[in-house]
Amino acid sequence: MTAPATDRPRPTEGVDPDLDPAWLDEPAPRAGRDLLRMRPVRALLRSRWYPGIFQVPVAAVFGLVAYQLLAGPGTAHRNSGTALMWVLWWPVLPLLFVLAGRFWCAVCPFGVISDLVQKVVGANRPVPRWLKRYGIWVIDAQFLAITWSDHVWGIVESPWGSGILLLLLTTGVIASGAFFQRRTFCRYVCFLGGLCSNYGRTGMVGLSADTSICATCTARAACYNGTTDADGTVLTAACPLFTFPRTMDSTANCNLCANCVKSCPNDAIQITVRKPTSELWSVRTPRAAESFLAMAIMGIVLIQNLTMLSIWTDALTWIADTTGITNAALVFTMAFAVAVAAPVGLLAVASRIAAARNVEDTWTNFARFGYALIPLDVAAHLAHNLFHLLAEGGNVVTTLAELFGAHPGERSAALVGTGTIQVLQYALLALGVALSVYTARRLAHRRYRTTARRRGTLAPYVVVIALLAAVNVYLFALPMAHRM
Amino acid sequence: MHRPSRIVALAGLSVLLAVLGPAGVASAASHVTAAGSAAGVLAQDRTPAPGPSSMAGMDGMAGMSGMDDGSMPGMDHGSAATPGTGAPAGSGAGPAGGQGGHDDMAGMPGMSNGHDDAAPVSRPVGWVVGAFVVVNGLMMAAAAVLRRRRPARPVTRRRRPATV
Repeated sequence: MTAPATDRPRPTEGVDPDLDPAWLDEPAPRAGRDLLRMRPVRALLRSRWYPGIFQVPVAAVFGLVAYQLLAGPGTAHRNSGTALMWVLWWPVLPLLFVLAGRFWCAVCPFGVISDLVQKVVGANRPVPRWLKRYGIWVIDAQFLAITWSDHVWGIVESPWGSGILLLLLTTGVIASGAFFQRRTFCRYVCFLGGLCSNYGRTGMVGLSADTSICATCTARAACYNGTTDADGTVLTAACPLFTFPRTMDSTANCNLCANCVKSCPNDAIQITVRKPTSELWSVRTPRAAESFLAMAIMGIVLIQNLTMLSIWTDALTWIADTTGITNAALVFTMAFAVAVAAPVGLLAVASRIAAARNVEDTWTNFARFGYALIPLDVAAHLAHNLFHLLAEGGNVVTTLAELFGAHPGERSAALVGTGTIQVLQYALLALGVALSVYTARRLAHRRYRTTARRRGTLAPYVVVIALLAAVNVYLFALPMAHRM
Repeated sequence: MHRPSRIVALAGLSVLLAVLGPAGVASAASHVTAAGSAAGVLAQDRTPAPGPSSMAGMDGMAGMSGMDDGSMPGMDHGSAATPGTGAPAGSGAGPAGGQGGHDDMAGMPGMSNGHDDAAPVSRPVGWVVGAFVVVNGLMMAAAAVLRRRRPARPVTRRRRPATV
């Protein structure tokens, strides 16, 4: 591991070194190479066809998926909509987040629907204040609710259920586009957007503005508001996710739509390559809700793994026997709550221990160091999804072939062998553990100057990372059932 | 917004709704009787048994009497081998080896791929899509009225009160 930056200010006399404002006000890490200096990239992003050239094919596939889910074969393993949605798109999505941040949001069909509705009938009301404040909790709750309902009603295994889910989400998108400004749904409500913003922080690509150029800008925040001509015709749309490049310190709410690249008259926007996870340790205002989301997702991944194992049945039976509850949904809800609460509880306990050894309270520690778990989160999620992609990926080909009239016959859905999948899963987990520990270390070193506080803070989080990694390793070692 | 772009947007929206609603609003009425509650509809569709990660087929979730004796569909797969990532090497059928358990599961209760021959279930597609179109149409109409009556104004920045 590389040593943390040492070009930090010297301590102020008579002040606790860890409370010294000069220490806390560390500049953001240096940005890497600006991709906009590469002519093809610049031409693509400045083109009026971007991101439309990606939106059109994605929207076409979305239409096909929606049609298949609602009107196609009723069984999951014969339905190309289910295969495309849950075996191809869903497993690949986290990988896209890691590689390209929130780029998916720029091409997402829901975003296109929102824009379209807004153009036609949009009332363009401001985002409600409560949504701005608690939107991330709405996302957290929504994520949990969708996962819960998947297990109780079997949405993934049911094309019809998946179709209903799509229609419900589309209704939310249309409501948002009809009444509120820009992409309110994507920024404050969409659970995928929340996932995207969390995972995207580990990504290697980030958009930012050269603040030294922005300081002299007279364009009245064209990058944020968009540009119009003298008649009021929109030349470049406003930032759909309400992000002002000049002040942004995170790419969590940037979908690389390039509107700001097109509208900035000073070429101050940069899209830089950066160290993976570097954003996680440079967040200036950590938010507990985002840390909670990271932990909740970890719990969701755990429960997704658990429900594919035979021990899950034993666990449910044990809960039913112990509590005497006979309602299946209630028993599942109890197991679900425990699985989701476990990582959150672990982080809370670690934060409590860390708080006793440093100068911040438990809540602040929870918010700050929750980000350190995101790499492990992403790795566990990818490892889980890898199983679906590689062990069931053949279904995509089979169902699509059937859709277009071919008869591929019975064939294995697996694309590679069990051993290969497990090696890849463990490799991903190892990478996630390494990056999580590294991130926790950078966070501790960035926040604290004294060695004792650094170590005292870091230790409980390393234990949590190791525990969660061990649980994941154990679960991935057990035989798993297929989804479709 | 200029008229042409509005027309293009409207056309796009129509195409999208048409894609989503193959049966169309017109056929909605014929499906009304097939409609049930959301959970009922989903459970009905998932014949004959839910997947291993689901509880939808558990006697309509009215109770769990089958849990103790392991007779509950969808829940009793644990005792059977569930070849997957950790399956023994010898269980491999098919080109990938070790993943072949998928095919071997056909017909096994609790495995979602074991229902090839399930009887087709009538789904209230028209009814649901019709409701979708009506709800969203009403919302868009309300938004359009709101837009005409009270056009959105640019948000003015509030001046922060002076502090001493």
